Amino acid sequence: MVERLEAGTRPDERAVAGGRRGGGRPNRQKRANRLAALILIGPNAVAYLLFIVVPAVTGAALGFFSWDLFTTPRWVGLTNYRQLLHDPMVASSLGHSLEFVVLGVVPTMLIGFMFAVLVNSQLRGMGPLRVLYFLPLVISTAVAGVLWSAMFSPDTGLVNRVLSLVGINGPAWLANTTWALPALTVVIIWLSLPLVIILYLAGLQRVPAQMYEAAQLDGAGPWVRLWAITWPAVASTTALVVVLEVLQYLGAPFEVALIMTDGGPLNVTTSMSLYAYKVAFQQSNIGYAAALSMLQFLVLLVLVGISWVVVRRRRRRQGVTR
Amino acid sequence: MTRLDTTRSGPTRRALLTGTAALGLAAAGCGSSSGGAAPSAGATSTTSGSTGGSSPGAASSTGGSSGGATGTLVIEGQPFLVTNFKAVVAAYQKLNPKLKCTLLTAPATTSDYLQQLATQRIGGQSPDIFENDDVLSDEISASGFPEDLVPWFDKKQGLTRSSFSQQFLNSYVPRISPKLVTGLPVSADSTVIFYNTKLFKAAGVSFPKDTWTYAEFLATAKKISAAGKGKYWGVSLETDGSTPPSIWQAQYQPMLKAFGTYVYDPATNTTGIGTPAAIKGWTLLIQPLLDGSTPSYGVISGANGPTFAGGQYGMQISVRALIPGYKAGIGNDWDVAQMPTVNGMHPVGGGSYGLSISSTSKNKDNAWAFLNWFYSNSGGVKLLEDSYAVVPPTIQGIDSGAWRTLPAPPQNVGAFSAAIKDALIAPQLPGKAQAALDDAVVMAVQQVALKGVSVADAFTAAGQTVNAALKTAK
Repeated sequence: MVERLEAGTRPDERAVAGGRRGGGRPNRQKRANRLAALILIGPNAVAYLLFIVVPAVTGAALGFFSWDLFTTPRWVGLTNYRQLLHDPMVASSLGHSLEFVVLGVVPTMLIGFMFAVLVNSQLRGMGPLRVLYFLPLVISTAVAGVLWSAMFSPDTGLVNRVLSLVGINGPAWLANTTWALPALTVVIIWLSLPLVIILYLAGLQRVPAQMYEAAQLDGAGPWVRLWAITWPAVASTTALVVVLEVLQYLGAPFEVALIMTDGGPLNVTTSMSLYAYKVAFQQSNIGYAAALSMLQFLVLLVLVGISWVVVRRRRRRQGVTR
Repeated sequence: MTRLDTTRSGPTRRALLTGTAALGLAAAGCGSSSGGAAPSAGATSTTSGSTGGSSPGAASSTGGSSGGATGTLVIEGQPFLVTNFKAVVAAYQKLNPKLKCTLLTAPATTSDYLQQLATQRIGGQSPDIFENDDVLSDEISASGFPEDLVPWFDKKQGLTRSSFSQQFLNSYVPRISPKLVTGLPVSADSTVIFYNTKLFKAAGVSFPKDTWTYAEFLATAKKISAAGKGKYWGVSLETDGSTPPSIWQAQYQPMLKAFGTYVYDPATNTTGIGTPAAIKGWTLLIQPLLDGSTPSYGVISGANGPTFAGGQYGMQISVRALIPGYKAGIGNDWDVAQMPTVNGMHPVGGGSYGLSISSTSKNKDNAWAFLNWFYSNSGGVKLLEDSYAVVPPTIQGIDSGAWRTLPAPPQNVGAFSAAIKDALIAPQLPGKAQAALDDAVVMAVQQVALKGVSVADAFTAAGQTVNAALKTAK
């Protein structure tokens, strides 16, 4: 195909020439291109089908059954979904999931943006930061959970020791019904920052240097340049980050809470995903857990949809076309 | 962490066909599948080395008695069992050099342990022998994990039902299938007070007496905490390593009985944990948490909470199985006393952890041979007895076992003898009601400790929760 292009013929000319014979070389090229594309995306498509679509459909179907993993699943129709309406833990865990989103998404976005600006700058002392920001990405969530549990320890933990230096008597973070959820949110922010920073770094690379130069000539200071040039310039990245982090904060509390607080104290850190997990594997009620998962899926669709609409409207108002 | 799926459109029909053809390439290029190798995820293993040795001294005539066992044997238990069983497995491995014995460590939390057993079973990775517990036995049986041992008894090749104290063996007879026996008790456990003699001397208080009342016990705990000034405390809420902090069933079962009520009545399928009489018992049990004899809930639920083995508690209500850990931590600076009296009786909790053969084990003969050796006169139980970890769960073992003449500590061996006689074995709750009971007690303790809810309100609510669970439990 490359050789034919180099010979100077245009694909449309070849199509006309070959069209008299009912699709000769151009059609073969198209078929070859399509086949190559399919072969390349095929493995991913199959993996997606096997590991995402099939389990999702199976999960949706399981919501109509009663199953304890060992006996034969029994059809119960809408019983599990009706139970959702009467289970107080559903509203409670949904509320906690939304609390994680509200407390976590905006700080993650802003802190990630600021770190990306720092890493991208030529300021002295940024060298270690360029390495350290990647650290949470290479530590598993389980290890991070154990480390942060020790750091939040009320009497020997690092957090309370630092606070005591400034005269603050820190609470028993993970055993306090007010502070346990914010403490876990801090951990998830820490875990989420590397990806957010990388995304913003990529966005910052695309901002033309001339814009900063022009602003400097006009007398704009660093903060003005940051919020008037840099922040709007990465609007598309912000849109992506918001969507990603909404998903993150709906899912990540499961692992972090399971390791650090087991959903306690008094279920204040039990998110929907953790509750579904406990229903599935501690109560051996797979059907009801599947129904809970479907509810979470709906919530996720709504939240992501809202995020997307809000971000797009803001970008239109700012006149951002990309 | 969640990942954003950026695939937006599904493939065409042609793409599906092409993708299927490419599946072969993908399968060849992908790594190996998960879950295929033992030990399973979440379990760590200790494999004993094999050395030469003679035949085991088992009384039975199974493969183990000839020392000719071959193949594999996987034993799984929670951390304290693994600590105790390392020497046992090593000894058995030495007697059976051609057998590959592996000791797996399961999660310490009950719910995680049960989930691991389920996962292993689904994945075909069940251990051959796994740890069972008296209060979990019914739930474990209902899930189909353990093998029924009655046919093995009937073979009359070694262990029989009458080999064991029925008081402790009955914990492994499923409530809904009383003709089965699904586990064997490892130890005839009963609660006593372990006390740190060094801390008692430092606090200037007298050692516990077998005739102590509960009021004296609580007062002593408070004095020790006052002397400790945050470095050590009077008494722990539960045994070392229990998470989340709660009140142990071996404490509340007999305590509630001392006040004339019950935890579970099979006849009425109800619980009495929320009754006014029970509230009096709960008030005594939770008192240390409220008066400072135990550290705050935040401290005891922290990552590095205080422990008795770490020399941070003056007293702990515990059982013989934890002695090896205590000796490793505080050496010989401890002794034991009977449980302090409540309304004229010692509220002693009894029970056991046990061993079960997996119903899906592929090495049941090896597992049975191990059990026969384990319970033989020179087998694993003897090793554990010599390490202070068990009182053999047999009539002879309880009455005249070698554990009575081991070097001190404990000096007050009679406390264990008396405790076994008074021991109240926990009744089995149906289905998932035991899990509901455990959760309800945790929640009630947290409400009292963290939210300032009254003991009466918290445990009345707990009783309602458990009664609701009992109505739907099978």
